[in-house]
Amino acid sequence: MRNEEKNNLLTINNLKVQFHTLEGILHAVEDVSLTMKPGRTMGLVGESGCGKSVTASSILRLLPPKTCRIAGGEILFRRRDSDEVVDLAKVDPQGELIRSIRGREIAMIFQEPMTSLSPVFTVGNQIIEAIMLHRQVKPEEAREHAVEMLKAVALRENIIDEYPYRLSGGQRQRVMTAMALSCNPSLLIADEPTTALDVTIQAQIIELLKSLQQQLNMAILMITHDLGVIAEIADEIGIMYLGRIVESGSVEQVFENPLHPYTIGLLKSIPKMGGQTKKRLAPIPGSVPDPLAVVQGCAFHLRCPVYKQNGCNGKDLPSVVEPEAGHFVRCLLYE
Amino acid sequence: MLAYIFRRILGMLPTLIIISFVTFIVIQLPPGDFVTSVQAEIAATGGGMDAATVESLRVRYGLDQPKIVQYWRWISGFPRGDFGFSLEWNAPVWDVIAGRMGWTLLLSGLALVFMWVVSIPIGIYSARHQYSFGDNLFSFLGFLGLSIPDFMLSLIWLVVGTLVLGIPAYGLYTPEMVDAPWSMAKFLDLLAHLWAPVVIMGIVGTAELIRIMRGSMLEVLNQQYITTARAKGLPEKKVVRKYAVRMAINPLISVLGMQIPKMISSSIIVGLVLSIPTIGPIFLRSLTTQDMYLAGAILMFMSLLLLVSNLLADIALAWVDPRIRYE
Repeated sequence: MRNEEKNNLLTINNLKVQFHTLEGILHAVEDVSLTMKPGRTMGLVGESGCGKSVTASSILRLLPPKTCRIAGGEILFRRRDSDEVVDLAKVDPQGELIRSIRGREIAMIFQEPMTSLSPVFTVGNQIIEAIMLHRQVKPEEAREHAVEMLKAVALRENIIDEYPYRLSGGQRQRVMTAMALSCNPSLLIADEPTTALDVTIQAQIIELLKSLQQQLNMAILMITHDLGVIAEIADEIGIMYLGRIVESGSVEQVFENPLHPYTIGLLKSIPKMGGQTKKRLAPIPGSVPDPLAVVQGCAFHLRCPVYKQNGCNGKDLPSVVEPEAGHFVRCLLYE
Repeated sequence: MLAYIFRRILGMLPTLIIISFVTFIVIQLPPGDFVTSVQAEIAATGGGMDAATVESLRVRYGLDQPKIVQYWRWISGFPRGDFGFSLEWNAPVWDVIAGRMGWTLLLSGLALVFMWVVSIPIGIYSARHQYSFGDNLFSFLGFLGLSIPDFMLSLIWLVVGTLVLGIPAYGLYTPEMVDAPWSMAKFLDLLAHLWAPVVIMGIVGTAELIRIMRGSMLEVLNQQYITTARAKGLPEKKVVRKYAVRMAINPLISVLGMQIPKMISSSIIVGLVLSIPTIGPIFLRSLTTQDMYLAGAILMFMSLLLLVSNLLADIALAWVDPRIRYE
């Protein structure tokens, strides 16, 4: 193991995830590699169906075992206490090992705050349960800690005895955040945590995550399709298209000097304030191909505006190149 | 919660009054009255009654009074615990039906318990192992149970029990036990007779509940909060028990209110076929002989039971689901 890798909290190498459906095999994640360091935030961006949520769920092995299979690659995670590195791609998804990591070392926040808490148990019940599961504490201590967590996410103390259905979406997402952070995870996976919220609440949640991240020195893997959110919170960014990361690098590199035509398209399709009212938005033509159909060569060439230039025929599978240090792109134009 | 229950009970009163009206009208609908049916019975055995006797009987039973007076005489006794007088049995209605009500309630209650105890675990298993061999087997058995009517099952049991297994498959006790004083042996004898009607009564409902529980579990297991629970690191067993079953059981409680009256009507049929002293046989007879106070009282009790069971189901639902409790 190289020295550089030793500091990584999470290293995903060539992850491949397949769904077995009635219509055939769906290649949700084709080839994803990424690394995460403690205290840093990585943003994973892409359209719906590009495999970003599947990547996130496969880290905690939360995908339905009957239909879904990790077909290759490794998910190396460094354990907190022992410093030992385990390959989460190989563990039993219902076994003891992954359960001791879930919630305790890797926590997750989901997209739908309205449905991600059980409606029939109080907020306190659900948070205290998580604390008691991973820490040897008395129920009163767990309750105290739950109250502290609720305060940390700027909720009133008495919310602890409320039922989730009596809370607003923003409050529920805070409760989810409090629950996820209650055991001090070293990695937080946030799967579109702000998508279902309105803009002001979004900003609050983002600010909240940022300040808690500094306090707890945890890494955040932020899954989103919202480039604005990424610009706010992320240090590194990975752009996903059809199960592959097509471009990655620091936020500055990717936002200021986008290389992949898909990234350029994504950035162009964001509405901007002021000045350019006459200019039309530039959406990316076409739509994501049927995920069951295997696209030969570069997956993006069907929608690529610049393909056929510079000798690109779209028929070869592009490999990852590094045009500038730390900035990776998977595109035939740069080979 | 108490206020809610009190309000619901108050709300039952007007419903009961309307039911009593309808009940009274319905049992008066067939032409003639109790005396007519007595006349017919005597005529059938070759005898006859003169008009004066017929008239004096009518006066004696109050059948010469206007209908509304008859209704009032009947219903005004209910709050006092006087449920009328059975013309045929020549005894207060309560004395005639009390024991039989007990057996009916016992059988129905046991059948309900049987249904729940059997269907919930099977429903959970089937949902967690969807399309597995076990799931398909239970589905097959369930549809089989659903499509065989209870009277058919009773008849099959009667034949199989008596002719093949050689045990008396009817009644509550073996003949020599009927008049014996209560003892362990008599109790065991009762149990040996009771399970078959309970299972027969419960089988249709069990099949239904398995389908409901399976569907409900499948839906709940796809909910986001199940993934949340797993992401916390909870063992799968606890995820299923605490988060999935707790929610999936709601529709079962909702149908509980409808299941109880079904059990009562099933107990009538099964009681008739297996000669168990449920309310069934006596109800049928009271309708044919137009023993109107008896028939009316039984109908009233069944309606009351329906209302009470609906209330119980609603209370149970409020108890398991805070969203209902607080509204």
